[in-house]
Amino acid sequence: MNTDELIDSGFESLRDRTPARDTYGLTTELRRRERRTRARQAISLTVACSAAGVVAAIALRPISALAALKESGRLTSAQPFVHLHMIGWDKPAAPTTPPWPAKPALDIWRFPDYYVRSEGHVLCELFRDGRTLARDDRFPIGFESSYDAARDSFWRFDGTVSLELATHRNPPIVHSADPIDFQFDDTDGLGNRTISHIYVDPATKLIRSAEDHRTSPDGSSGGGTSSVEYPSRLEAELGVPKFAPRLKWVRLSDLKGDLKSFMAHPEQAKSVGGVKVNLYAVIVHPNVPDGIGLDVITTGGAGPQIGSAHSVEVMDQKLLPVKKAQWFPVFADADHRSYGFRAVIDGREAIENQSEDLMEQAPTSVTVHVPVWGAFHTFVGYATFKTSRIIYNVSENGLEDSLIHPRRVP
Amino acid sequence: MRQDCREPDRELARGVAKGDEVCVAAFFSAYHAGVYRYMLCLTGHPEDAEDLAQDSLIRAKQNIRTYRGDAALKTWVHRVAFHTFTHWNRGRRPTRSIPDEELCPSRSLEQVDTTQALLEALTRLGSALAHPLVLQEIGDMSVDEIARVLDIPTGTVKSRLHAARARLRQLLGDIQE
Repeated sequence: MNTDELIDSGFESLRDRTPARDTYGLTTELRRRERRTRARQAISLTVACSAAGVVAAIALRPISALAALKESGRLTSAQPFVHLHMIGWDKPAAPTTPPWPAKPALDIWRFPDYYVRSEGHVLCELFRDGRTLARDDRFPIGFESSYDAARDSFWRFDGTVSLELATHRNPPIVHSADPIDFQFDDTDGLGNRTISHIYVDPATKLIRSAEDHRTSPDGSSGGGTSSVEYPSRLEAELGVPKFAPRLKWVRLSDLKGDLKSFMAHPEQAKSVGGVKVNLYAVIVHPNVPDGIGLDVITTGGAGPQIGSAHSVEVMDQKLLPVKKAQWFPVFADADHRSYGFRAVIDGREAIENQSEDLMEQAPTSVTVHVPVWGAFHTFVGYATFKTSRIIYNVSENGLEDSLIHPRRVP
Repeated sequence: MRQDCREPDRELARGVAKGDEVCVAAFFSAYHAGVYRYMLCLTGHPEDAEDLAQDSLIRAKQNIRTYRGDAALKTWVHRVAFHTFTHWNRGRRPTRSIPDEELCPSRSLEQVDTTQALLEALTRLGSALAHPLVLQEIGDMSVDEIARVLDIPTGTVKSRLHAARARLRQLLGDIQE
């Protein structure tokens, strides 16, 4: 075979070659890239230069996750507040001599599966002989008081109590028709006991309550009604639900060393495909609507990616898909180099998967899979970090009042 | 007359621009294999060729609105592919040569050797000479179309084709010896 024949034969062979990928593969790739492009477009980059042209300020302004959720109509919120409007009376029976028991001792709410943090006030009036002897509208739920009223006096209470039912069963509370044994003991020391059953009306999805009044052994009685307003007005006012970790965690600001110094050094560094990524911390935002926000603070080759590839493991229990991830300038150093991304995992899924540690006790460890991008936005792989350096943000004023476990302070 | 010939191209481009899935699939189907072969000859590496062909077609789809119908859609797509390859080629690292079994496992040893020898020679030819030759041989393009793709005069295309063949003969002659 001479050279020309070799060339012709080679080209003839090459003309028959076909790609391994098919049209479907191309279309799929196209869609993936278009999703990524849309995600990038959601980040508007604002560059403002000073008059001197020396200092440039770069601000990444991600579209608010909250606004997006509201627009999409998926803002269900965890709705932890239940407003209990209480009107009632409680008549202490004889003997009515001091020492007087605490009245009304609503601090003894007992919820097998819930813990309660109360807000609000009850107007308490001490009546005797048809007259108001004392009035105190500053009594919060949970107060303890004693009084020295004479016999035939009774407390009348009227007010709205906001109960924060922070529980891993919430929000399924609104999906269950099962009564929740939401009982409180009127521990006036005389055996009066009121048990309230709060349940979800299957028809209206509203929480209703029913009471079971018990008569004290000595014949005295307590009575009254309670109704529950749900969804609550207060919740609407607050806008976002709250989950309060009942923890031994302490406020960041109470620690020696401020937030800046805490974040001064990366906790871990990994290299993927030759690209180095540093992880500084994970900030948990339990108050993000429709989920739980995790700010993964990284520097290096980490970038945003929308899709199901992200995942978060909480306490090594469950791989939780990330619904939404976006660049988020959680921390920026002087050179604006420290960015991370916010991943919102489905709060309800977290709950149903019994990752209640995230909701109630806060996680002790979180594993995040950070996408790593090389030159020309080429995806090179995931850097997996397991970290216990977690900040639990329950503050509404930045992170300064956020919680962190003392053990985790570096 | 020529304008009328390109009406189907323009119609397809309009459909792709609108995001019509049928048109997008037809667009990919029409040009994927050709662009892949073009890239295979330039890179000498099937995987790189797959990636570049994919990038080229996706880029073409995303920029289809810039297609005005002045040239055939095939020419325009190959121009996008040419730019994609040029961009890629600037920053690429040296890659390994193609193993025989990856090239064409079902073919005879002689054919394997021929194809591999040609691909190796093409990658050593240099971009300036390889592009016109590959577009002519693999893309089945005329000199005018090649000139449009590479944005060079037709005279330059002709001289490069001549030089490319001469250089290819020389390279393959060396290999054969």
